[in-house]
Amino acid sequence: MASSSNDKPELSRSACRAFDLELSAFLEGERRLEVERHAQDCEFCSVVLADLEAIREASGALPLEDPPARMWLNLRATLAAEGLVKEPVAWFERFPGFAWFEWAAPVGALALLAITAGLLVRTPGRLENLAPADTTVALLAPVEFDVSPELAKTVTGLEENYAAREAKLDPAIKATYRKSLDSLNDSIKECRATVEAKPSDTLAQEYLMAAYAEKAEVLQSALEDVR
Amino acid sequence: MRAPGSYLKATNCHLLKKPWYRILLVFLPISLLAATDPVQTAKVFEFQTSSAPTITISNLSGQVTVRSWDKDSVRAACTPSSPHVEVDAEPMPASGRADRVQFLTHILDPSVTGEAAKADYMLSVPVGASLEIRNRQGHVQVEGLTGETWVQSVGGSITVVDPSGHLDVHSIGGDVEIDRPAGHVEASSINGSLKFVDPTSTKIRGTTTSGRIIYEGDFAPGGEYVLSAYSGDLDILCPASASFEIHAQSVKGRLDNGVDVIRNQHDATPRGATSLFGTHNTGKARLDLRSYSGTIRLRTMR
Repeated sequence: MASSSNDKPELSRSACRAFDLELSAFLEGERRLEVERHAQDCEFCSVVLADLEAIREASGALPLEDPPARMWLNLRATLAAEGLVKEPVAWFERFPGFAWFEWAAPVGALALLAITAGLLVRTPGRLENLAPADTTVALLAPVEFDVSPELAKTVTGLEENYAAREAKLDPAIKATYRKSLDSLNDSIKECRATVEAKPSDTLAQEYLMAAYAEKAEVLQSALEDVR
Repeated sequence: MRAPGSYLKATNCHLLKKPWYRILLVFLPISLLAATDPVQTAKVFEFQTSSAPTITISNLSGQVTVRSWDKDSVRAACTPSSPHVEVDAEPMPASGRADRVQFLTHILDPSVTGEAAKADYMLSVPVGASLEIRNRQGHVQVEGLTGETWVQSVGGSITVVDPSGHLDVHSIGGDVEIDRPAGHVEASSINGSLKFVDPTSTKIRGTTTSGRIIYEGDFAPGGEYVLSAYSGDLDILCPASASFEIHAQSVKGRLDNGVDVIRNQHDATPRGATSLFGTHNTGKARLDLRSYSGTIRLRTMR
């Protein structure tokens, strides 16, 4: 489609395009000799391939994070609103005559609770036996929090990879990446200090995790941009 | 008035009388002109497309402007800054109306950087088009699209005006401004600021590390707005009639609330954080505002 001043770049581009088309299959483990051959001839594509392989290896070590519970609730609410799922209906709700069954479980549970309470009041010694003294200590002790070693290792790996290639970047782009990484390193340092001082500060924990995740994204983006 | 050639005679310069010097005087400007890059002209592409094609632009550096028009076609004027830069466009399928058009900037000489590696794009696309833009450096402006828009930049700023489709915009170092969005919005930056003006979206999520977040406008009933800044301030300016439930929390920053909020009795704030958990008017939308050390300000419009 584009006009070109000479044939060499056009040929090179078509080879690069063919490389792009076959690249995903190659990375998925399929045999693609032309990809390997082109990567040997073309410096740009060899760097792209090396980066993607590095990212694939690093991402393999990333932990699988569960989405927040709120996401499932929102998803369920949306599906229910669209009529795609229905709340499960108990068998007795389908028969009006058995509607009183709805109350059977709570009434039964209350009765059991009353009987248990009565037994405990009559024999006070049992209450102490149910709760050992060291449980209270364990509940009050601060929970140690830290990012998973795998995530920290992945980020360190990406950082080392980037440091080795940073010089190849356009100076303006390099400065932008450097500034953002400095900001994220500062926030990681601050959050870590806060979490160490106040292990129960869950908001600081969230910011610490977010800073690590953002740093990994910035480093991946930077590695893609290295030519 | 002086006669032609009288200056030469008047100067009485011996050098000018020598033939080799006159030749040098004529050829020097010509060779200097030849050494500089010629002015690059815009390369224009036009493709007939479907009413909702996907347009992909992958550019290294330069201004990218995309506007909607009421035609089922794409017109692109691409201006490379030097002969070392070439712009390529590929419609898919190659014949008939394209469902996808891909624009790609090539740097023919890998040693070229900075100004010489730029290409500016000016596109007119169908209103229903979806966009995927990756522009490392330089401003990106998108106006009036109803399709999905995805923009990623390293150091450039991004402005999106009147988008009604899903919007996903990320810049590492640049500012992001979104005016009158109607669809779901995801916006982020590390060092840049985020600005949302008069949104009607029901879902907005914005995060920045050192930049500010500014939200000017109302909240849609049932909407969910999650805004998080790390060290930058978070400014919310809404009409007094806005109806929302707010959950604002900051690890080390201040909360500066200028809005009447009825505090909720059951505060779910994490331990250690400064917080505000309450309802303004009837609480139809939900605001989740967070900062680490930035100030969270809440004001009503006068």
